[in-house]
Amino acid sequence: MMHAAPLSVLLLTGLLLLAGCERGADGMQIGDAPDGWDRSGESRTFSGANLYAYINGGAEVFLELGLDRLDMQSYTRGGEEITVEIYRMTDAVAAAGVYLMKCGRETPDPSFAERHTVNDFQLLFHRGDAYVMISNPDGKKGTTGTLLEFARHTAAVLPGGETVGLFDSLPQEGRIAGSERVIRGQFTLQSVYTLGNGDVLQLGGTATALAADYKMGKGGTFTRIVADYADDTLVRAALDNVKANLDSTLEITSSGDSGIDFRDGAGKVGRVRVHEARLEVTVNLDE
Amino acid sequence: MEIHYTSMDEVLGLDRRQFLQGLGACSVVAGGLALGVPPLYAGGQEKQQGKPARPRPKIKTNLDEFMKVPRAKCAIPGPFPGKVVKVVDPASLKEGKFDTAVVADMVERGITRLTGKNMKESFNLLLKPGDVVGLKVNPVGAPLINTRLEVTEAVVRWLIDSGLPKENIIIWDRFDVSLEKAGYTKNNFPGIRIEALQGFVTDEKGRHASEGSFDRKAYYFAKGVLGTTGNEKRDNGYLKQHVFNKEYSYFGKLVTQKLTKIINLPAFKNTGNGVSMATKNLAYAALCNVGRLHRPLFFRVCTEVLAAPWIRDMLVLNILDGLRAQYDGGPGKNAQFVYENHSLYFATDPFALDMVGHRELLAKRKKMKVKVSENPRYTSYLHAGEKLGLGIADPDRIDIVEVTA
Repeated sequence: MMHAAPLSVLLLTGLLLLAGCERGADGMQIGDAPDGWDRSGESRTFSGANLYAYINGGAEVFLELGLDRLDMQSYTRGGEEITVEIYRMTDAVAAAGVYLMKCGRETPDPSFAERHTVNDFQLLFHRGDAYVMISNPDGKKGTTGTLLEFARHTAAVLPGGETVGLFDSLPQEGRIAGSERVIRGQFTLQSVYTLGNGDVLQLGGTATALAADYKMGKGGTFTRIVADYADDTLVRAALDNVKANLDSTLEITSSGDSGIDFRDGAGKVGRVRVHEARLEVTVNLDE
Repeated sequence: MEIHYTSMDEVLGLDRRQFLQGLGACSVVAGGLALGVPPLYAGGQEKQQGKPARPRPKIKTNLDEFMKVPRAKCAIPGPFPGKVVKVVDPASLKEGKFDTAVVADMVERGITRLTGKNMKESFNLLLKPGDVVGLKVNPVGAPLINTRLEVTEAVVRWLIDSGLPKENIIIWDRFDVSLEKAGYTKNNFPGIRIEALQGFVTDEKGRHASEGSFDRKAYYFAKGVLGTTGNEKRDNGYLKQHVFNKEYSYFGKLVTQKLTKIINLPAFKNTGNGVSMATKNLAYAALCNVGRLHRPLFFRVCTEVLAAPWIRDMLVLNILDGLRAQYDGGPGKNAQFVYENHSLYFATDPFALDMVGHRELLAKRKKMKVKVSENPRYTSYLHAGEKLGLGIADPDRIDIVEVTA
């Protein structure tokens, strides 16, 4: 078994803290179990960077978008088990951002009001600052009803939050529903497009860019990314940073004060443009 | 033990201060280009508010010191560089249920096809009866996308049937809670040792009870990569999780002092645009204080930690569990992107295995119409491994043998 400090040392300290994976954190609101279900084991909390301990590299996306903590609780009924994971994000936009990255092609059930997707294994939804994953490890057919029941119980204890209009800065025309994404740094940007090195848009984990795919008139799609900065200085710096750290597979074909054009290895065209305090990137355009 | 290395500074006859000075002095060499590390590795930038970032010099690590240590005879890529055997059997997983006997049969077919020998002979080729063998499982994403117990059971059975004492088998991962959650318990593996490098218990001063599990003489060094921000509140979570901090990630004593061989049992899944398979399963789990490495170094760690003698010279076999696979949303579980793949992959060469996995994952992502990036930065670390002589990453030099039911 593990090498642990001598028991006497631990006893002398008189205090054991459960770090990283904390139990029974104050303020935890997971909600009561539906009738017939019992809590299994203690609840666990992973705060901030401790999320690495739970999903290792997968933590980066949560931390970049803004994670406060993860609360987990398992429930059992007979031989069945359900696990509820509530990712408390720093704001409702971050919660929506995680959901949009994780939901894939949504298969919602009309009986549950929150934006969600459900299958035999998992139900994912977001409400307010929370992104919620409810898992059924067995994936038995016909258990979505149970997942929905847990979802309703969980949603009932989560405060709401406003994300209506989140993507208003992206034009509606031609936008492909479900392709919308929230970007706050290098990892969330790379899930949309590999534009450059590091946090190439200089979002710093706080400024937010939004992205979506669009249909082109003659078929195919392109991607638009829009980032609004606090002022002209910041947006100009971001443009300069894109120029300086553009991905090595992208070739700049023209460059000026208002932006750059580039071409990727497949011959697709990209544009970066500055309008006042907004930076707009369009990629995968035809020549 | 057959192999035991002390610290790199001891190897060189230097104390730590001298060693650090030496690292500074050889920074140009450690810059990595001489070792074929692609420029994309340069990674991050130094950012100042309102100003464009300046490209940051490549982060110095102790990779060069790892490479100075003579390789053991059995070092990766092992006896079959560039060879990957894929065994496919649709009967292995039906309607969510895994068939233990079919999986065991797949393990046998994979090992024997890889080595060209029977199971006992394969054992003798890769291992010895006196070895202490670590089975590095991947419990992250349990129960959907972790290393299945059925696969691990089949490997354990092979080792025991070949004459390895039960007490010489250790199933391991970084965190105890992860192992338990995935079902790697004494009840499920009676007589087999289950060990994590660390737990989460700390004393009132924040010291981990697991401090003694790590070998201060064996480390991966990354200059300036601290994992902390200077903000006490933000840093608290990080420091509470990780044993030690700052620029050193210490290898577990399990790896440096107990094990004599490693069998790597990763799961088939993505991490962003790349894969979290053979190299990552070891690179981010054999050490402490690895959270700091993700943002600035990420995949580079997968190459460099596998170059460390404690891994490079003991890793004899990789079996990638692709019975279920996940093409997006990984490495955590995400049922939206999980599919039945009915496949196990076998290789002594972890870099060839990851390249095969990467290409399969890319094809699946295209088929499922999720965003795909074929940017070379997501596989450049595999090519860097090839340039270091740790494996084969060039697809044209990889021999994929498919065995179907």
